[in-house]
Amino acid sequence: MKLYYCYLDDATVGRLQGEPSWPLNWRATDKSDKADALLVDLDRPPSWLAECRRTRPTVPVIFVTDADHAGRLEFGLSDVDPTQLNKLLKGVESIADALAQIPNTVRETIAGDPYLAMAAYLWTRERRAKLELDRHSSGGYRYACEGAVPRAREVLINMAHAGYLGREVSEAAHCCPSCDSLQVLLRDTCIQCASVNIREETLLHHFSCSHQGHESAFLQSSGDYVCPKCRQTLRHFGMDYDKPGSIVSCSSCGHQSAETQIRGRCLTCDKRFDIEQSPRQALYDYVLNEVGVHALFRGRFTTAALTDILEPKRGLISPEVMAMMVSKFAAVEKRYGIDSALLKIEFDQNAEIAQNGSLEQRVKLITAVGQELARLRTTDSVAYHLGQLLILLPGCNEQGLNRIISDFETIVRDMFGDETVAALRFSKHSIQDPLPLAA
Amino acid sequence: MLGDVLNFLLNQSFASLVAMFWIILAIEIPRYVLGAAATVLGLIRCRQITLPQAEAPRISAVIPGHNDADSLRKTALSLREQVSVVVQIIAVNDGSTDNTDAVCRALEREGVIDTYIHIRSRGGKASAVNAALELARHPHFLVTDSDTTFDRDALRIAVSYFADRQVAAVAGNLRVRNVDHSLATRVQQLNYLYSITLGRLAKDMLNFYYVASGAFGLYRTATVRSIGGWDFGPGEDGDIATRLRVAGWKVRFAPHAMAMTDVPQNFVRLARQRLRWDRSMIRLRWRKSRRYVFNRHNFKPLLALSFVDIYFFQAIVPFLYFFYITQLIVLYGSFALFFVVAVQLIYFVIALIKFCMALAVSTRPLEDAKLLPYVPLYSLVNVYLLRFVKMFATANELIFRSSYTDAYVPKKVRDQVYRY
Ligand SMILES: [Zn+2]
Ligand SMILES: [Zn+2]
Ligand SMILES: [Zn+2]
Repeated sequence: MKLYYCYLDDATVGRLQGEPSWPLNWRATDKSDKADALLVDLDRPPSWLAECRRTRPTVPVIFVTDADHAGRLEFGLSDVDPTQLNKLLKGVESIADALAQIPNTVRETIAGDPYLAMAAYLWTRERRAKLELDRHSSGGYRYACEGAVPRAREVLINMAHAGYLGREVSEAAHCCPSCDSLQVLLRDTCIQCASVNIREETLLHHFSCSHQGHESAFLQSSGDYVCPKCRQTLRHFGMDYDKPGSIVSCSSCGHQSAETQIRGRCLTCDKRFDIEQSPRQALYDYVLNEVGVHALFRGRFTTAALTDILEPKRGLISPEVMAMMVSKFAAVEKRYGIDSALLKIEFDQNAEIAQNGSLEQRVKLITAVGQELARLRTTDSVAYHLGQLLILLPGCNEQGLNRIISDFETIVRDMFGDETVAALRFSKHSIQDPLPLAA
Repeated sequence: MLGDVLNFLLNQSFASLVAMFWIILAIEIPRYVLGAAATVLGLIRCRQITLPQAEAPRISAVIPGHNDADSLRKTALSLREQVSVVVQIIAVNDGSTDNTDAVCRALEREGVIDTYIHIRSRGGKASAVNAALELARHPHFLVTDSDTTFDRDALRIAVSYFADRQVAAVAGNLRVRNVDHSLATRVQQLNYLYSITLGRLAKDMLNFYYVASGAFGLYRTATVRSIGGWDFGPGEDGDIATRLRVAGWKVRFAPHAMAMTDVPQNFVRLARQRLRWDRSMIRLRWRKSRRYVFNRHNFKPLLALSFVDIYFFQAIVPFLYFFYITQLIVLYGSFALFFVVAVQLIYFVIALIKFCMALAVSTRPLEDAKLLPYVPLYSLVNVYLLRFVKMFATANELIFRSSYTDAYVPKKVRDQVYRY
């Protein structure tokens, strides 16, 4: 019988109201790095948990929490019903088994590469990242892998574009153009002033005097229609009158029109927007395909194709090429003493644009910045990787780099405005250090 | 010439004048006088109907349709326009082969109709109406057809007759919708004014009335259920009214509850339509309904009398008139033409007086007044076309039973109907 181990500590045991039930082939352990599953208290997670998940992204974490919360987690154990542990552990055995199928050499590198981590995670979860609607999560939806793989959404999109994941439309929505939230009110509004205080009225057309007007102008308290122009009673639909359509009147500005305009209002950030600003957007489930499985078992993802996401980014090079160039210039620096510098540009995580802007917006903006910089200084090479720009500046020393950073800031300010330059963080990197490619 | 005629007439004795004009004196004048008196009384009585104000009456309406998608939509829309009543609209697609199904589904989606029943193989109007009767939710049940549209207050007026607890069926009035189309349609509007508005008003007053209209018949839902719904047609609407009368209920006519229908656009088509109607009328009156009317255990003198009335004017008078013309020709040779003209003049005068009475009842007197120039033509058409059709239909029906092969009822139903 194959034995599995589940990490368990006293604090967690203390929270459970009752004796957890164990399957025969499971044992409790206090060694978290060897365990096939971790059982921890959601409200008081052990300090090492984050680091442990970073190094072992596929490990199933069973959180003990209250009954309401338990259902929303990938693995949640209600503290009042520990007998469910039996079922949960049986369910995670397949994760441990699937992980064991990944070659040892690959398994050790998983933690360092977000693509490998995501692929391994999906491999152990029946290959699938399922979109779940959840109003507590950012944007109103989540994927279970978000707790295990950093920047999971971005990684999923990149991998799908590069052909490692298949995707299936799971939902469609008009998201808030500013914060990407799905929780948006969409409603008819006045075409003129965007007021929601509108009402639709039927139009009536009296044939014999050709008067046309609002139904309310014809309607008597008896229910009969009397033409306000010629005082005749309209008796017969199709003979005396017809209803050619309806008109929308706005109570705020008085505008009358046959049409209305759908406008949105974000429940999260209160942004008001035209529906044109928020085109129908598909939300996907992702499935690790054969190409992805193959890359996982080989232990290498080629991200060359990833720079082509969203739109062609002329002037940018792939992270692989960048890695190759950096190692070359590092060798040149060592051998001939000619300095080269590496500059990293990314969003300040505290900036508004990084917190509220959509992923697409951020990628578009930062790649546009990268393209401009590459265009202006043809000696530099610029690569985009997971939300950051890497700029290789050959023959540039320490003082030169400081000057270039302030030059860059000026350029970005001129071209993209104060807000963008404030949101970006410029940092220096020695080219002798490993490339900051992992997220 | 005219002088010769006058001279001839003035030289006749009273007895020979009676002999010459017996059909007018014995049949047309008494009928007209009685009818006029009844109409005036009926007019007074129907003005006394008070409209109920409390809760909006609720009506389930059935529109049976067979290959008439466009007009079905118009009918449904006009029922949606009704005031002061709540209407459940049930559309029945009776085995249509055109786009009726798509139209009905669209109407259901748009909320114009409430219930849609699709009968895949055609069963005729009676079975379509019975299918809807099963699904009717409201205490009143409207039977119409897919070519009828309603005045906005038509159902409100018709339903007010049910204030009398003995009334189980109310027939509404009918007008010609395409009246301005041709000479034939104008003449038919006059015919509708005379035979439907005035004729039914008089019969209603005399308690002779028992034809619920197929285009506009309103019933008590529970009562028609209790007598087993509709029987196989043609003529199913007269049949159910007769059965209601036999069961002791009243059947009323509401002259101010107005619906409209399109009529044949030329005289040939008119003749063909009337031939079909008259045949089924004869069959119904004589073959079928006589069983309940002349029933020894439950004999209703008024009902029997109304039967004799209909049967006399429907089947016998046309033959009498034919006999009268023949007699004139035999007796007076070519001089007979002057008698025919004289008789026609009398018909015309009667038609003119009736025209004024019709305007008094009409819901659209101004429009109807414009038909005055067509009254002479109407009296000709009435006597020579419609009577001839009646005679032909009666002979044909009594001798050949041809309405059993009328295409209006599908063959599978016809084959199963017991031959009365
Ligand atoms: Zn928002
Ligand atoms: Zn008017
Ligand atoms: Zn407005």
